[in-house]
Amino acid sequence: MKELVSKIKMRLNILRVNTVNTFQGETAYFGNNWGNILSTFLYTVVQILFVQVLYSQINTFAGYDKNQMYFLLFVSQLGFYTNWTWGEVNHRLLIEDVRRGILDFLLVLPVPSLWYVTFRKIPLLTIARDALPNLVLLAWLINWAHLPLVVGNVVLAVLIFILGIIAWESFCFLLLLPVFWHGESKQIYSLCYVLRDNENVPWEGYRPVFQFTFSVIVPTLFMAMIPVSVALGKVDGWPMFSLAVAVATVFVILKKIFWKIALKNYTSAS
Amino acid sequence: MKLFFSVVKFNWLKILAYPFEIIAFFACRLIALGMLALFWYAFAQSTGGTMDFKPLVAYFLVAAAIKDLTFSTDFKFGRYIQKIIMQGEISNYFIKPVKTVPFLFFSYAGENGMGIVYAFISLTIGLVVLPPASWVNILAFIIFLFIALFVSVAFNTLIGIISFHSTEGSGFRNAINHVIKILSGAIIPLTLFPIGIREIILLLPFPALVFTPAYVLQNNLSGGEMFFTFSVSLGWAIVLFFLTHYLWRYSVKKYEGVGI
Repeated sequence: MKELVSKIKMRLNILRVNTVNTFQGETAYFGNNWGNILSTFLYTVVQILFVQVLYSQINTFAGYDKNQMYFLLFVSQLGFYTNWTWGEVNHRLLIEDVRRGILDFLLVLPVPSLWYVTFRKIPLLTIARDALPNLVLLAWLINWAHLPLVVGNVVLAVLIFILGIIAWESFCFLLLLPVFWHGESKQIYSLCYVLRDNENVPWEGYRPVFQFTFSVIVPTLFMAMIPVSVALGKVDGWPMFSLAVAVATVFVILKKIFWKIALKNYTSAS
Repeated sequence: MKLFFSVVKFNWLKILAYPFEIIAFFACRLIALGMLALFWYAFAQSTGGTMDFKPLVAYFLVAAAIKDLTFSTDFKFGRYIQKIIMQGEISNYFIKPVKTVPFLFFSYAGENGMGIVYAFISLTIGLVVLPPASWVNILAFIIFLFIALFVSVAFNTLIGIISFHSTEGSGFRNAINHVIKILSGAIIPLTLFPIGIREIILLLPFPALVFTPAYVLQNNLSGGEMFFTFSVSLGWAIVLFFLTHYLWRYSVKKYEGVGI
């Protein structure tokens, strides 16, 4: 029990230190943030224009009206920013460290290595800077009163969303591991961007074979499509929640196993 | 020209060192195409059959090929120039007895040989799905493709020039990229826009990047329409060429390198 508490304390301490360290780095050159604010704002505007143009041709898309599509976009963006600012940042750092052979500087630290490389940077300022204005804009566009949201469904949807983020981060982590063997994995890791790039198709727009593929084998639909469908009451939440728990668990276990295998193959430059 | 082709060959050979990356590249592109097809299939279904799925898919296959052949995909050539400038490596290119921008262009072209191979595959499939009506369409496509190349290189260079004047180039580059993506017809065909807005967008340089070449390949335009489209595209290509040329020379004069 004491050992477990000590392990948890160490991990929480790593989170705290990395958060503070990342914040100091983000605020060192504050002027650099303006370009990114403009970029993410324009991206959201383009997405809104995209939906507007689409719905000028149709009334519903895979059973979703425009308001529900904005809701889907809102949750997709939430998932994107969470994954992009936390998962992707740390994954890119890890790829570079392995390529340059300097990962052993991290491995010699007296900390759990997988936990450390997963949470090395926690850019809260980037999330606030990039995500908040755009999510506020989308939230303002949504007519919340017209969405058939029920508390129970929303709670399940939030839990599925969180599990989806965990499963997706673990899946992307597996895609970066070839760098330990081949010395490069940028293109292989790029599969994450491509597989995630389906945020405009609701769960109901997929055929059953794709629903299975993109939830169990490539867990991309858990980040937005499934939570939205559950929140809107279009699918039963409890089976989806159970599936999310199972998928997230499997991918986290796979992440741990393959991390150990990858480390055995690692050769440093020092 | 012989030197530039040697540069292309050298950079092409570099990417062959990582064969799994090549496989992953093609996998990425094919999956992206699949996602696109999925989305537009769902859209076509939602129109209740009033919109045909085939022309939409053919459009995006040809559009993807155009973007790769003209290096306008996410303006990665511009990102390449920005990276070289921000890291100070541009100084090494300035001291070479070659024109810098063409040298950088051919270096980048070599490194993106896979994109060019994929472009031909995508274009071929697009032509099979929706064959052009006549040889006139193909000839017009080739002419507009060259114009698209000029416009794309100009935009990429303008994006690269940002790094001469700002330490934060990536944010502005991404901002420009998002706007151009929708106005060029890369993510949604301009034919789906409301007619008033479409008329305005067609006067801008952005459709020349993707929409215009794909549109002339897949549709029969009248003589007047063809002349108007050609004039607008060529006009913008000339304006952007001179603008880029002037801004590049102005920026290089302001550039300060550190110890070669």
